[in-house]
Amino acid sequence: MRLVRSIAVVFATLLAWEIVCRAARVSPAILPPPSQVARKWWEYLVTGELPRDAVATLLRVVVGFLIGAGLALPLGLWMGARERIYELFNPIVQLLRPIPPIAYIPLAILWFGLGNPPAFFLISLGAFFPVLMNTIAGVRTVDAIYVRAAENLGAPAGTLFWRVLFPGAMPSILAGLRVGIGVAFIVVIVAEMIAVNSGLGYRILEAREYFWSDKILAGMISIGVIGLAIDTAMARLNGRLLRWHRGLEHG
Amino acid sequence: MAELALEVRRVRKEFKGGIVALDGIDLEVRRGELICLLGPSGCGKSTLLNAIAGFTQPTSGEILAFGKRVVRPEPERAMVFQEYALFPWMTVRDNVAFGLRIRRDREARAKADALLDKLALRGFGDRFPKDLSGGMRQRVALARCLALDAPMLLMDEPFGALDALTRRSMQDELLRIWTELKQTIAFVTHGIEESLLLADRVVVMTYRPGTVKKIIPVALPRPRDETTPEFSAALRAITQMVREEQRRHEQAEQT
Repeated sequence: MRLVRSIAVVFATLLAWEIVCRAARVSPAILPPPSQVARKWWEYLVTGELPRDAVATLLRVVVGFLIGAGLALPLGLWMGARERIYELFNPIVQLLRPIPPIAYIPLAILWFGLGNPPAFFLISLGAFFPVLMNTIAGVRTVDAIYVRAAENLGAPAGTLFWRVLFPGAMPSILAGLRVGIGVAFIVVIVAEMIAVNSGLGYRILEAREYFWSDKILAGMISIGVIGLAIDTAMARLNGRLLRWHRGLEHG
Repeated sequence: MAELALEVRRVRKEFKGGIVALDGIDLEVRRGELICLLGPSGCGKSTLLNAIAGFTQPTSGEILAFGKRVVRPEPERAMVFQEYALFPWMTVRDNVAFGLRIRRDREARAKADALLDKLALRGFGDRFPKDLSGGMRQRVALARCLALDAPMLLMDEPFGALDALTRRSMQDELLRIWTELKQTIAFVTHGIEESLLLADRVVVMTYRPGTVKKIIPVALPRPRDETTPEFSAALRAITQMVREEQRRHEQAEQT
């Protein structure tokens, strides 16, 4: 019933939009009616342009995310588990963390030129800090009683790390990965507007040059749907990996 | 083979800020003996247990377990925590097998299952701790310690978080296991009745600094029955002593 109502609200919004466009004779170059956007979206889809763009974008997200998270995870585990390492690296992390990945665009282009390399750089940067911060916090906040219990049962350092600290930090790490891929998806759109000539971000900017607002909107909706799909997939994965977790008891 | 399982010699524990948690603690526990450390909260009984476990070091004095000085936690002194401390990310079976796998015991799984059977947890091996009730969780924690054949069990208010009925059946369970395996057990509690049900000797502790006020041998025959007049008389005697200590503690808090 709730689902039905939610869908009804979506349709009502689309209907109102359609009516406003027609009644007020809004220029389609400013705000095309949803019917026109839908037609354009279909055309965008069947010509194969949308699938190609979506694949290009997703590929960049995946590569950038893997690089960013792949660097952040081991560093985060190390910093979380060793107080000395934490003290050593934390100041510089705190200094760099508030710089939005977007602010690295000029540097990225200077260093890597145009094309995929600067995009990968920016996306991995976007994924890096959420994963890093959550991993550090996750390891550091594993309840000391588990460490005591493990030591009491004779666990050597390696066992303590891999079977206690790492799984104990897992809920936080997964939350970080979820945020990280979300940020990576934001950054990829920006990077595509600037550095490359394929992908969804590039396509909507290109559409603006021709005043194809219906295509801009079709592209935006596609971005939204893909973003939602990524986040839902991550949430599912988290749920599966964290079956043991208390927070999911009522899930 | 030393007759004494545990020797606590002039142990003093001072925390930062000068709070003396333990002072001049002397205690000897024989092999196979079950002692209860009894006292009001804040009297340092858990601090003493943590020092015996090797989680913390006394500021001065020394603790010997089976003739060797305690310097770190070891599986021969297995700890049962009030909060269970089961690893929530492992199944019940993996929790019980944890210590065995560290020892590379090839029969870890089979031994864990056998223990689960013994503690009335058959069929729960694949569940996660969150699916279990408090009493069952504590039985898993007990099984995890028993898996290592620890000659000494340290129990820190293990049944404190359980409801009265579950607590009673856990006490029986513990006594059954102890009668069979005869470990040395140091059991921390603030339950006077619990200490009388379980202990060979009750160590009554004072409040800040924590010292041993008196060690009371419990001569009541086993299995003990809390409805007998002998039990009631013993209960009354200890209750009086503990109440006196409680009063001192309350006065200390007011000033």
